[in-house]
Amino acid sequence: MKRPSTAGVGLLFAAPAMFGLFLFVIGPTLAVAVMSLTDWQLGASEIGFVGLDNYRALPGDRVFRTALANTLVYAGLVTPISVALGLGLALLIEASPLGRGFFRAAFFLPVVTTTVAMAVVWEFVLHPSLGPANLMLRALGFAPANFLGDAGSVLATLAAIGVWENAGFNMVLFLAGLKAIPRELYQAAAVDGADRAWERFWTITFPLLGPTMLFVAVIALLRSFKVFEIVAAITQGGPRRASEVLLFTIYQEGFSFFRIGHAAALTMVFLCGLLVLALFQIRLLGRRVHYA
Amino acid sequence: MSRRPWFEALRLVLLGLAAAAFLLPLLWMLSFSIKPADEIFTGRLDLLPSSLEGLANYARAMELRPLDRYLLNGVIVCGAILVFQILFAAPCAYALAKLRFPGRSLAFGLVLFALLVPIQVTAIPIFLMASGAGLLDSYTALVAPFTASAFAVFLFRQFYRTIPDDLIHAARVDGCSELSIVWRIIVPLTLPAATAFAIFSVVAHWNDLFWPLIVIRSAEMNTPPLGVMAFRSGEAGDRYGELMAGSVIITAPLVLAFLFAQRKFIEGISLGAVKG
Amino acid sequence: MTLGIDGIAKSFGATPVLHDVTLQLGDGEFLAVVGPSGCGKSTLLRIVAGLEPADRGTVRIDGVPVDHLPPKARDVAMVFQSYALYPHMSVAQNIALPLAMRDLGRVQRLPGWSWISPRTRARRHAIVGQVREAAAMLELEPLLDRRPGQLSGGQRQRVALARALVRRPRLFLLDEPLSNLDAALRAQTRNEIALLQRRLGVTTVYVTHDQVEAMTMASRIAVMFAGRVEQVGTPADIYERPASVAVAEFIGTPRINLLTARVEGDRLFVAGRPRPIAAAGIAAADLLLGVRPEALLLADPADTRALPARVSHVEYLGSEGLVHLHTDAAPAGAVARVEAARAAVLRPDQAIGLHFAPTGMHLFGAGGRRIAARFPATGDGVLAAVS
Repeated sequence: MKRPSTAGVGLLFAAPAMFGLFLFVIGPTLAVAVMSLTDWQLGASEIGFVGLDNYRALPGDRVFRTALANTLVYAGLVTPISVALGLGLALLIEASPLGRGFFRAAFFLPVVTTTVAMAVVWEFVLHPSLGPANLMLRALGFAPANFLGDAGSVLATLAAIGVWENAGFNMVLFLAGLKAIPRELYQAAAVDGADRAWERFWTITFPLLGPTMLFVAVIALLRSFKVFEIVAAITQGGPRRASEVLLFTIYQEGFSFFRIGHAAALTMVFLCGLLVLALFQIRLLGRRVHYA
Repeated sequence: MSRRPWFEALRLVLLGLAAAAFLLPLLWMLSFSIKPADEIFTGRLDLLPSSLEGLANYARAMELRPLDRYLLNGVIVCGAILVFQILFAAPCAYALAKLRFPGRSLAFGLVLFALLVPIQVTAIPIFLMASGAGLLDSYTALVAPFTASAFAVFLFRQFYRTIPDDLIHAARVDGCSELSIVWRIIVPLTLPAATAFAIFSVVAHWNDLFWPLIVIRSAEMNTPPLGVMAFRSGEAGDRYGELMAGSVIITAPLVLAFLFAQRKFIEGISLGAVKG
Repeated sequence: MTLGIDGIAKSFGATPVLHDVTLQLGDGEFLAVVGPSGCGKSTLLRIVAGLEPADRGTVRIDGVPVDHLPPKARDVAMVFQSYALYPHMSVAQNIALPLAMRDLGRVQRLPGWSWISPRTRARRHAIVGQVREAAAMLELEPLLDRRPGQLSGGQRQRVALARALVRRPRLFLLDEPLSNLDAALRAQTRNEIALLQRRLGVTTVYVTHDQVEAMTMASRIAVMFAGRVEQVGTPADIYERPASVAVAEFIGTPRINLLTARVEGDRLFVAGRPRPIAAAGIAAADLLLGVRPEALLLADPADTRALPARVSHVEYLGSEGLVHLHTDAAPAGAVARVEAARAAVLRPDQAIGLHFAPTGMHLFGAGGRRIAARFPATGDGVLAAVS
């Protein structure tokens, strides 16, 4: 018999978004995978299928190796520091209601600011001779440093900026995690004799915050893995490729040198990194549900 | 919780120092933006200028670059992206959450996969598509790739699933078509989710540099971050006051909006954690 | 308006929930569909509303099949167990929504359109009037600007009723509308709904698991078990001539007493004690005798023709008393409804005899079906007092 059907409506409603996803996400992702198997260079007269040659060339590619190493070092610096700082700030903020709103806003403000606009500020603040940072160093009796111009310090400096930008984000996630811990647990612990702040922290906060901590760490890792704007805005990968990171390399290979095949292979490496982290994140999300 | 005065004091000192360190770059930005050129390079650390002449930095910055145009571009692009995202995502999310149709789980699987793929991965083919269609350097190129948001679909679906079926049945009996159920019942009902997503989306696209950098060539199409980039590379070194004023102008809309609606902003932006 | 439900069948996956359900409602009739949870009554209601497709069968409104029509085209109104009020709309907007959907076009519904179009303004005005009228009928006027979240359970229930009634639907469907109310409010609302229905004369299907609601409100009752309509009839029919053990057990509180019985010739034996019976063609197989609590009469334990029993527990209710009894004939125990004064003097463990009043006796055969039988009076007097 005929029926008032929702099947047609369902397809109709899903279609526009699904079409968009095919056109702008699924299709292009597949296209990148295919392009990575070619020697396509924009403007070249012909395209050849080269199999996995682009990938085989990667280990010997100095730029790629530098970019990957720099990205990992950057992520390795920003992730633990911004997570630890975020946790510390969240715990301090939650410890008492005094000034809670102000501090939360102060630490979150960098998350909202436009990275590129801040890059202008950082460049001046970290100016080797006139920047306030060096003025302060000198006032404290230290030698001035060329933070962004020295190959030895540029990555660490960018990482510091990354911490400034991300700690507030992590803090907010931790604040949410802390709120999810039932008040009664603290009262129960107090009745059971854990009445010092640090005792409560170790018996309740820390164990219950464990899943949140893993979750925040993976998120922070994902975010720092995608570092691009600060590099594009300030250092352009320099000096001497000391701040070359993966996304910037992809950008340059693809859109400055138009070596599409090579850039596509780099992109696939980047995507694999994302997928590994994302799978990890999905498992964590599944676990987070238990107490959230 | 025990509130010991020394602990309270220590907390305030630690948080105060940290807050000062976090706010200092922003204060410097403000400070340089209102200092005349000769005061910027004195090698002194004063935050406040000796005179108000520096306020002219703002006027000069606007003369040097069409900052208002950049802001307008930002508003148009972010607004268009958001409108299309919600227009496409809400019905799709409703279908995925509440309607039975063939291929539903496949569609949801694709949404989950698309959720993982950022624009940096798909940039090359989309760039080639846009270039082939002659759409580079246009609003279309800035907006179109983001109109189908897997994240919006995923997020809305999660919220829509919590709506009781009876409510939808009641709306059907009351004479609503499926489309009016979406726009009259479901979307208003989950307005907090839509608001949070809107904030997330606007902040992300207002601040985005990667994609505009790829598709935009001409100065009048600059988005706010591109505008700052162009401003900076155009004025080599000696117009720091104006440059800072320009940065303040570009940064101000989101920062002010954040200060006015902190809770909503924090909610919206921390949604990004789900997406990574 | 008449409603015809003809041979409706429905399965969810491999699980059948409705088997060939057939029901007819006359114009203005109030039919209660009653049954235990999971019997398929809510699914049936949803099929009538057009919210679920049936696998087989036809729903007719005024004789016209409506199976292919979506809910909005059937002109039915429904009240849900959860009330399903739109939480983001005020009470007035909730009540107005069905009117706006029916009376205003797609464009006219756009916000601000009534500024442009006088026609839309007039219609909106008419809607406001109808909303006021419906609100007045249910005493909701002071609440029109509130959100559902700010209302009590009883108030929400009335808003749901108002939303259903406001557009004078052809058919009124209620799905357990009272089950979220407390007992006092339920009794009061029961009467209000019954009165309202009679006043408006809207054909109504009322689904409930509560047999008291069904008995007190409906002009006819359909009793459903496991996806089948077991019996349809007036409350008195159902109570006085239950078609099966299941119906007899489901309708009436306290539950009907079931005693094992045997028939030989023209005599009915309960625990070896005979009494006359007039019934045709009954095999001597094991039968069940159902006796309503009010038909279980207390007798002197010395009366040899009475069924011997023992008092286990007495519930004194003020207006009456319920006596719980042990007797060999009723493995699950038995309950007698007696006068309060009688209940007050009974003591646990006291021995007692039982007689049956013929009007409250029902005989059920194999498969639990009713067996037509008459129980001639035996002349046993009711015991005046047991001391």
